[in-house]
Amino acid sequence: MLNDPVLKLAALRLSYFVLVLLIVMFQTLPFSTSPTYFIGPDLALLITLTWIMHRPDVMAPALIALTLLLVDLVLQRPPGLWSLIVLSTGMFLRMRADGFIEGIFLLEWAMVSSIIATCYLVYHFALLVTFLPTNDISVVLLQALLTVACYPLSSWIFRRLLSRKPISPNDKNTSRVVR
Amino acid sequence: MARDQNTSDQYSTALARLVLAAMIIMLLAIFLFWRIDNPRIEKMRMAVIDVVAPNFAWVAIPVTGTVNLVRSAQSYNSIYRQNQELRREIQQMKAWKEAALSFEQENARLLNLNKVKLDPKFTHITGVVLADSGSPFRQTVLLNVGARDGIIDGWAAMDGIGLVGRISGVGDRTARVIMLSDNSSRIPVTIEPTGQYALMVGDNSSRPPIDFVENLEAVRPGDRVVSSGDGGVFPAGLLIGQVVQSSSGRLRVRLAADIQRLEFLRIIRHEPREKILTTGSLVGVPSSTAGSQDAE
Repeated sequence: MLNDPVLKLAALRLSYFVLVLLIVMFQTLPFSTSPTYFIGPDLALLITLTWIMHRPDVMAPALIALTLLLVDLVLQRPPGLWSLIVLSTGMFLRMRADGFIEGIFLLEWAMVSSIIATCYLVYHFALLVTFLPTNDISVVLLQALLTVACYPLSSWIFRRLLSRKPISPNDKNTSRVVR
Repeated sequence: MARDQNTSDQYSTALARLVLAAMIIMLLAIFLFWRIDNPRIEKMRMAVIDVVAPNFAWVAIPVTGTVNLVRSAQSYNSIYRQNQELRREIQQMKAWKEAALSFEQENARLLNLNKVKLDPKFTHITGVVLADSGSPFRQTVLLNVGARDGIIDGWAAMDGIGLVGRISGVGDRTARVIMLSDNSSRIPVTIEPTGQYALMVGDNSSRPPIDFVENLEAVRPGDRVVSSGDGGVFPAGLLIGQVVQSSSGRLRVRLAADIQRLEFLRIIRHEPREKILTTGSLVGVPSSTAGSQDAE
């Protein structure tokens, strides 16, 4: 296993990038090319927020920005807009992430839900303000709700994978976080 | 709340804040630049996809293979039920007729696909569908042919029978097709047999509505819809579909192309009509220029 904390951090960052990229690529596989009303949660957003909650140290701004910019490019969205919104709200969440680590899960869920809602609202209004075609509001709403609904599952999955044990026994400088 | 001092310091330093600010400014700049000078950023987008998409193909092969396997297994499951249905239907002459017609169309499509040649003298190029848009808000597909095969923005994409969309965004190895059902698709069409001009407007449904019809009363469900060639983007006369009337009374087009699951698309080479610049050259073309016009 990777014992060097720097290496481990880099490995986690790389795995976040690869995970999001793989999910987006699977979304674009041409299984059905006819218009469909089936819609899933925004998995890239979900994973980003879950990782921010569990490992705020891994989710550096540059990592989030570049990953989501690539997702924007691949998914034919206005480049930069969605990633900008998720980055800003994500950083807001990251400042508060530590307080939730041992807190009540419902509180954490409510926080993430409000972040997701903010993301979709700001995105919609940004599209309106810049005179871009907006997406069908009912479909967007459904996607936001699904994303919120999937957060507990995502959180449960990644809690195991991202557990924050002391990285190595001789790593002594563990202390209270000063905020 | 014991946690690592190193890492907590790592994201509260001044440097980290600087990086965050730089990232926010970069994203904002990209978005604003895209809004102002769309084609340049879209070209960048195609360049990025050009690098990413073909490299992903090796991951996609086992996945699509598995899905196809499951689908065929499911169809084996329902084969008995299908058999019963077919026995019923076999009594009817209509079923025979439709089967024959569909086989004829399939045959025509396969025959056309057999003529795959990457030669500029041929009138179409066949491409394999690599990816779709991946979101329910856009209706696009990505093909494995691009600028190196001579694809040019705006060319028509067909599936052997009917029009599917047009090229919008060309990378070196990939090209994106905006389908007729996409929100941003607008195609000038002619409704036969009355010859009405209209505009087919994509709205993310499988049956795009037609707008701006000259005389609504002259259009009836069942009329053929073909591309009109207005604006010089498409060649005229490509089959698009049939007029149908939705329950709300709106005229829509049932596409002739089967967009359920696209695997191959034909890109129609289309050179814009030659412009006649001088008045005299129409009458009696000299033999020296006739050859060069053919070559164009």
